[in-house]
Amino acid sequence: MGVTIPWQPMPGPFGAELAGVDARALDPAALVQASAERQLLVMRGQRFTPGTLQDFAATLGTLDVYPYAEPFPDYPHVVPVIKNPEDKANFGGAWHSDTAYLERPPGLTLLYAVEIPEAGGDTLFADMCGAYEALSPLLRAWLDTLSGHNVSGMVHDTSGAHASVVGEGTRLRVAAASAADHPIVRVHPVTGRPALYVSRIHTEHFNGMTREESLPMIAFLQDFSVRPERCVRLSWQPGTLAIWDNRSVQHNPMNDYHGERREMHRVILQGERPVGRQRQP
Amino acid sequence: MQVRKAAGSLGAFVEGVSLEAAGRSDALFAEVKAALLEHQVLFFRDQKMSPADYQRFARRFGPIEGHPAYNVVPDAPDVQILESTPEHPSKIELWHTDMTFRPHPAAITLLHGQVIPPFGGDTLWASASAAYEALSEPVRKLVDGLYAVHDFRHGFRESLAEPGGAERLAPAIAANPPVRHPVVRTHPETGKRAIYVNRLFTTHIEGLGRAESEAILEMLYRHVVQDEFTVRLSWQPLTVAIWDNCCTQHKPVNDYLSMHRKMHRVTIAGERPV
Repeated sequence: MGVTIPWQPMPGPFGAELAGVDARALDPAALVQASAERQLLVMRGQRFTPGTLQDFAATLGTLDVYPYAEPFPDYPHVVPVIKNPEDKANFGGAWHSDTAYLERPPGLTLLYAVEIPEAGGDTLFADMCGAYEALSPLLRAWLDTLSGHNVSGMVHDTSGAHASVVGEGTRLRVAAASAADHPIVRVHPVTGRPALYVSRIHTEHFNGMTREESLPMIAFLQDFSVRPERCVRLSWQPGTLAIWDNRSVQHNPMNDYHGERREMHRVILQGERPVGRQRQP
Repeated sequence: MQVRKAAGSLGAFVEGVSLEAAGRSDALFAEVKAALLEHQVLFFRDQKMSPADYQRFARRFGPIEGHPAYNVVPDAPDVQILESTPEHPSKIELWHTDMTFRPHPAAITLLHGQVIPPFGGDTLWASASAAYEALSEPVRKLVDGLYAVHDFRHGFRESLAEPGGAERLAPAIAANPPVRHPVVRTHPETGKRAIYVNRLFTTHIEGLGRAESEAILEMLYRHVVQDEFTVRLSWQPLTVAIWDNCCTQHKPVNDYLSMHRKMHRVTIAGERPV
């Protein structure tokens, strides 16, 4: 057993913060365990280059490749996420769990702040386990039986309904459209907690239902999940590193800093195929 | 008697029959009733008959169910007067099934056009049974077996908010406490299942959180009134429409409220929905 990490709970229903400690000095296994239990970890005052960020991320899991943006040429797992002063759209600017349209969506995401606007550019996180628990038993039992059809096309297609969320400053690359069916309620492989796994920008419909039938429920679940009582708000500083668990949280970067520049470096780690509470159709 | 379908999902024009005569003939009435069960809403043009004749015909469908909020014709007390004038325009706007705030909502409604504006004021009906049949399997599994609450106060909320409205409707409110009905209703005669929640009177589904209930109701409301499940009638003076409230919803098109419109209505008592 390693030394207990002195995490400070964040203001809100989940998340933990650590200051004055080099993330690389921590036991990677303890970090992975903490990210599962606390859902969001925030470490202030880190000093990473794209190369050292990639190396550090590799100690926490298997590095994944993001299909829809260009990474650094020398660091194929590190994607610069940039909004320039002249840009209006921001990358990933809507509530979502990362790349839910892949067969095996990433488990953990690492996001490291390089340049931050004077004010604004926070990221909101929502507790998808808490959202599931807050539903009525009747609705939970029904959702347990459903799977969602998640597609990249509503975001990563210029004609997609939510195309504005891909951002402008981030160098996008063209990749084939992706789609995957995942349980609407997924069980966390470490904690065993069920979490809602559905979003307005990725979930096109519930399998076995039409999109028209699905939309009111998708909209409800999205809005219900991100009510303020389930959210944590992270204000970034240069050198802030966040690690979040895509199995149990959604996030939404605030686009409230037009005219300023924001640069973040992102790494995603491989996850497993989401597992539901029971067999889906 | 000729029956001509008016749309794909429901509705038919019936020609070559006098409803005044059907009020005096078992055989004719049986034909009308059978057509109603098949087509869910029937339209008859040029039905010249007195309120007393109309009342005699309507009574053949079953016991009359009066309405707590409407005046009646003096010498035909089963005939309610629905009138919209520029001074007192109709406030019913939403898709609904008649009187679902009652424990035994009206099974059948009849309207006889008296004063019809030169244009506008059409009515749309939707087949709640065709809509149910078109629901996806997971949604049917969810809604079969659920119960929803219906409330007079919800349907008449705008009238209640008017000056004096609460006082005027106080007896009706006292007589009509909220009731629960199945979200999916089985037709007492045809056995067909139909979605039985409506925007006007349904307040929520039992056993769910408010926001959850709203999401499911919204899904059902939108589903029922898809254009493919509807039929639209343009009224003329003396047009009669008869519809089956066990499996339909309807909605007035309020594009005539600057003009005078008057209808004679009779509502037939129904069973407790199951």
